[in-house]
Amino acid sequence: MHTTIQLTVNNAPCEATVDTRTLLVDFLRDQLDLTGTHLGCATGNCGACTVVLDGLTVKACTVLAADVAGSAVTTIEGWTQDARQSGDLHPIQDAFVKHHALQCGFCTPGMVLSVQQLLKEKPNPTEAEIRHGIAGNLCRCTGYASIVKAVQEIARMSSE
Amino acid sequence: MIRAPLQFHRPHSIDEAVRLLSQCAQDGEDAKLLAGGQSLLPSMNLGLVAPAHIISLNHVTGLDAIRRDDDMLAIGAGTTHRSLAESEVVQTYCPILSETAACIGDVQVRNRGTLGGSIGHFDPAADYPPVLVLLDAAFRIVGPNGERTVAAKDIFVDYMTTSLSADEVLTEIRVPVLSPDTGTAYVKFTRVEGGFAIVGVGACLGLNSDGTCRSIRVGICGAAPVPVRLTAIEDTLKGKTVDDTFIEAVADAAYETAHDPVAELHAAADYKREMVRVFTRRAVKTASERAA
Amino acid sequence: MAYIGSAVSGILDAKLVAGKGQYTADVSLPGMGYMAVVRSPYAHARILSIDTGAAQQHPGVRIVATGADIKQWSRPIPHTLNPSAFGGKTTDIYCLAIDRVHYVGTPVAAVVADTRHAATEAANLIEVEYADLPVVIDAERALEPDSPLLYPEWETNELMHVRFQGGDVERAFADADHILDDTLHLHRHTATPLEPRAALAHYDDRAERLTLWVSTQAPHPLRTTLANTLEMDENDIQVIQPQVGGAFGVKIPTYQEDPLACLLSKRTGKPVKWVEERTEHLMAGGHAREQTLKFSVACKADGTVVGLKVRIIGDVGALAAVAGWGMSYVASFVVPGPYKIPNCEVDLSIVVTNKGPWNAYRGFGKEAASFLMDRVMDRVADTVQMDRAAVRLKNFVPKDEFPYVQISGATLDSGDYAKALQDVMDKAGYQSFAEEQQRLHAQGRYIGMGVGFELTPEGGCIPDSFIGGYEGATVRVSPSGQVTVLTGVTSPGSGNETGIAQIVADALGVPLSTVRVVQGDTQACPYGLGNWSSRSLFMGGSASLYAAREVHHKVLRVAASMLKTAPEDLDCEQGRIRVKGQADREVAFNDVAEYVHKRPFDHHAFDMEPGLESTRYFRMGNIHHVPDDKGRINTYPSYPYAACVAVVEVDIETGVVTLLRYVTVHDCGTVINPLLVEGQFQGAVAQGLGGLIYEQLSYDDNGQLQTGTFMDYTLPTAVEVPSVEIHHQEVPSPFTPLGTKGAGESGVSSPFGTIVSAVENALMPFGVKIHDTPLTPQRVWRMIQAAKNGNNGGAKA
Ligand SMILES: Cc1cc2nc3c(=O)[nH]c(=O)nc-3n(C[C@H](O)[C@H](O)[C@H](O)COP(=O)(O)OP(=O)(O)OC[C@H]3O[C@@H](n4cnc5c(N)ncnc54)[C@H](O)[C@@H]3O)c2cc1C
Ligand code: FES
Ligand code: FES
Repeated sequence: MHTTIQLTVNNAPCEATVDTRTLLVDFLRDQLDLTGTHLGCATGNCGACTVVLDGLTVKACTVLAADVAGSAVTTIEGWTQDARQSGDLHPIQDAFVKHHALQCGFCTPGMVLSVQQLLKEKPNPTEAEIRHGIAGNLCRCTGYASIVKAVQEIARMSSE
Repeated sequence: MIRAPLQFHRPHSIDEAVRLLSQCAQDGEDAKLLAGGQSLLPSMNLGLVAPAHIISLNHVTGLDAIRRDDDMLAIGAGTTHRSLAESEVVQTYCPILSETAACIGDVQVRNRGTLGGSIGHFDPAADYPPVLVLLDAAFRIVGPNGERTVAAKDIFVDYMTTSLSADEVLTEIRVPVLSPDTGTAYVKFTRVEGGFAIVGVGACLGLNSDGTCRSIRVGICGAAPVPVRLTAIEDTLKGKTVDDTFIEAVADAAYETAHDPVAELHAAADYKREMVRVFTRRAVKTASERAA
Repeated sequence: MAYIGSAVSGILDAKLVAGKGQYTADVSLPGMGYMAVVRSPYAHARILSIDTGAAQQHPGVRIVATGADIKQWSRPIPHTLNPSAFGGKTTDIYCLAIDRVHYVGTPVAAVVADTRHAATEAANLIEVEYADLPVVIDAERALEPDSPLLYPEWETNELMHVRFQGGDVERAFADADHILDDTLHLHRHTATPLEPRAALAHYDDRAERLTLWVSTQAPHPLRTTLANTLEMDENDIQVIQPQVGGAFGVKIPTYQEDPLACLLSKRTGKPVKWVEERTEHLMAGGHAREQTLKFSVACKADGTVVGLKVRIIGDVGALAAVAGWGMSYVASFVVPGPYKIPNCEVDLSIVVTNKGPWNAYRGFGKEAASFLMDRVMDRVADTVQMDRAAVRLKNFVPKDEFPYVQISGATLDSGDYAKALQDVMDKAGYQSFAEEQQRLHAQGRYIGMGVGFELTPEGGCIPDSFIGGYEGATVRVSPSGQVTVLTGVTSPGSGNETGIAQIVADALGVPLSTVRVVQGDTQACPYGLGNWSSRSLFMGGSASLYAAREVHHKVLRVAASMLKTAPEDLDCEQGRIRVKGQADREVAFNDVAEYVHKRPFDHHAFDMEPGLESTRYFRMGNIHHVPDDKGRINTYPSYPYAACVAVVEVDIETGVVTLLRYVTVHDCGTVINPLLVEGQFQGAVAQGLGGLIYEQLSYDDNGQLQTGTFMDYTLPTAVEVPSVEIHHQEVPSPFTPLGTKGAGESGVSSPFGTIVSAVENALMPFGVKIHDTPLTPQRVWRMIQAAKNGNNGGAKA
């Protein structure tokens, strides 16, 4: 069974026909080739599939593509594009690179999107707030220590 | 991945949703309402449930409204955990509900999951049910025969079973406005951050001007297949001085009530029962510290 | 040296952080089908029949296969390490089960269809009829004579029995002041990288060639194994490893699904993609750790350990071709770790049970040895009433006795164990901790400090296998001066590509940005064994260094001729080749490269071999497979280690253990890049902590896995894992050109002994003794209750 949806993906209008059971994560990956969104568990636990839906982070394995008709979805690809003010990367991404806040990179796109949500709400988070803010994103490698460092540095820079 | 094909419905009103539910029931087809999907989608991805129809509530407007209605707060079933946690109205008039919402899952789960969905799913370890039970919340439900209101003590029937029938939609949850001097707390014991509660305890404590107990209500998840409320002792403690003995009496009562906890892999029944005591103590203590 | 030793960011990081990494599941081919695998719901059963009729008819289905088909179409998968080569039993493993299933999750049938949905639907339509067989899930029970047998032809469930022995153990025990016994139990858990396993197989009918994109750590050995299983020429197979989303060992071997996808692609003539689901991974992706460790230790009143008897029972689940059982072997090989205990014997039984097969997981048995030895030292300390660290200091192999040969043949290369421990104690404030502890105890808080020490043999090299102690690399300079390094080692996210680029950039004197590292493609890269046992940088990096030096030598010869001087008088830095001390006499590296390629018959290059490319192999000089006079061989060339201190708080009402601090002094020899090494160490400690407290693969009595999703297999989040305080002690390895030792694996072992020691220390007022993991709140709480009731679970002394 299929349905046609219209939505905005990474700032561009998008119309697509999807099998009604298609998860948002699979829609993005398989139909739109936006493979920066990853699939790690499909039970809402790992956060590798995190995307921004109408301004808020969600786990795209717990959302049906058919249900996001009319919504705006931003993936790591679109966010990176948006974030490019000068240079190639957003300051969050620069800080991740500087502190090697990633190893295999599988959790990273989701982690970056969770960090941007956190910093949007709390520009100057405490260490505990950082850790709670990324608790929905598992990093098995696990770069938590350097992720925390990276976020602290961004917060420090923006408060200067 | 969802294993079985499904028909997706996008109603724009509650009535339409109810009609769709009834239609499916008549056709003998399994239908599920979809709210935030934070419980339903993982279950479908694992193949634990495979409804033939999904009826999304995410396109019904107004289901996420929060209003003050005299001495009650009326909260739309579609209100997300995040909105509940951040709502100034809820923080002011029923802070325990905000505190509870804020400790559910993680940021992404709270951004998407809803109060109504949590009740519809009714996991024995879910955080809202014990709190709604202690608040004597009322549940507005719309079905093919119109609307009815169910009291908290009647909605959570048995292990993962509510009194909602398959063709009904929960639309609103009504909780009392708490007097500003009430001390409230919800504390929760999990294995890792963002996990479900092994035990969760909510407490509301009102004090008389002399520091004695004006009212106390305690609701607990993890003590039994359904949330328990310490009704018996709540009355007898009125007028008592709130001190360590008082707190211990509540904790003991909680322990006695928790005679049937659902055993888990890392929490056998006897251990859970002890944890009910510990976390009841902590909840009441915090509530008493917060009571003006 | 411009780059070696500096904290250069990962060269792939900018790409990965933008979501541009291409993992196996991200690769797609036109016309590809999707594979779904049907797995056994029973832990032990005979397959009576498989009805594939309905599945075959399902729309979109291209092929359905069962064990019977597979047996016709392919050969058994060669074992990564065959237990029979170690005097053990063995069995043939095909891509799908033949006749019998031995664990829940055993693959029994497979479907390929046009879409993933169709494949899954068809898989559900396959009806398998099973006849239940009795289940054994406990290793000690499995050793009893009347136990159900997994492989009846063995007439036992003991896969292998191993003994290592040295000195005069009985004599040592007879002369001891104290003898004490204890039994420890480590529980089952697993690596579970965030990226599940995945494969995309494409058999091209016209070219008669197979290409496999796969999330693997070892592409070349995989190709050899595939050729064998599929009865194809290795030349007709190309294995490509895209970006890998974490591996930690589980992606070393050839899984059944790899050749399976290839076979089904070959039979359908179209590409086949398979992406594992998390539940499949937790059932069948490979388990680790579950072992019973019994010891009897003899010591003097001054804390000197004079004798040690160890009995290990490894519960390795069912047998698979993936060599996970080897971890139990290594656990016994490493005993007694960093300690000098010449009178020592280890008796090992590796036992099969109806649980998921073991597969490599970071630590590879060394964590068991480390936990065991830390417990031995703590027990001795208790018994002789000495400080726990002091007992370790007394028994360490002294720094002037390297190379030191342990009873198994393990030849410890270098180090200063005592200094590492003393340093970490200083850094952590070990001496003043008791005061703080007392103060907090008075407030009703239970804080404890523990010490631990891990020895992490690296670069394992096992005779007659692809687990080898050598590596190859090619360094190639293009006419424009761009440098390509092709390596036999791979990176599953561990960062060695960056370290190797640093080494090569330094050796050539060029900017790091001009160096590109290519890994994980059997068509492009020199033959190599892949990534495991922390070998990639110290072996792959050494091979790259050799190749780079050779190219560098050529470049300098040409440059010297151009500058009319001798090669020895030249310096090369950031792509400028200068005459030492004469800033104005220089030539660009790029110009030399162009010259060599374009003017091989001209003045400066006519007398040498054309081309700027070298392939070199590096072998470890301290591995020996010819038995010594005591019959010992050394299978590990590098022995990094870490001394650790942990501080924990125990909530005695709930049993919750919170790790407050973890401090370490770590020696992995020369540090090429502190950012990478520390990242690896942080991750390793986090996994050790996860394994010790939060993660468990638990089975019920029927052999059903109870923790098959991330909802109940709970991985620690950023909230549970504190940042580790890491200090380096660089004692260079004498056996590698840069002094590097293995790094990456270490850190995963020490949390077991260190944190357990800290928890015991916190619970000293109760006298609790810990023997079993995981340290779940419930377990800790029960121990406290038992101790309050007068049973502290103490060791039998
Ligand atoms: C990683 C993770 C962690 C979590 N941690 C916690 C936790 O700590 N504590 C906790 O309490 N929960 C936790 N949850 C569950 C979460 O709170 C869910 O959001 C909630 O249980 C379901 O709400 P939903 O809106 O997502 O409902 P859905 O998943 O969409 O629906 C759930 C069920 O309710 C029914 N339903 C939905 N809306 C209605 C309605 N209006 N009327 C009638 N029936 C309805 C649906 O048909 C379905 O059966 C967690 C979930 C995840 C994925
Ligand atoms: S894949 Fe969505 S949370 Fe893991
Ligand atoms: S970097 Fe590998 S999972 Fe986070």
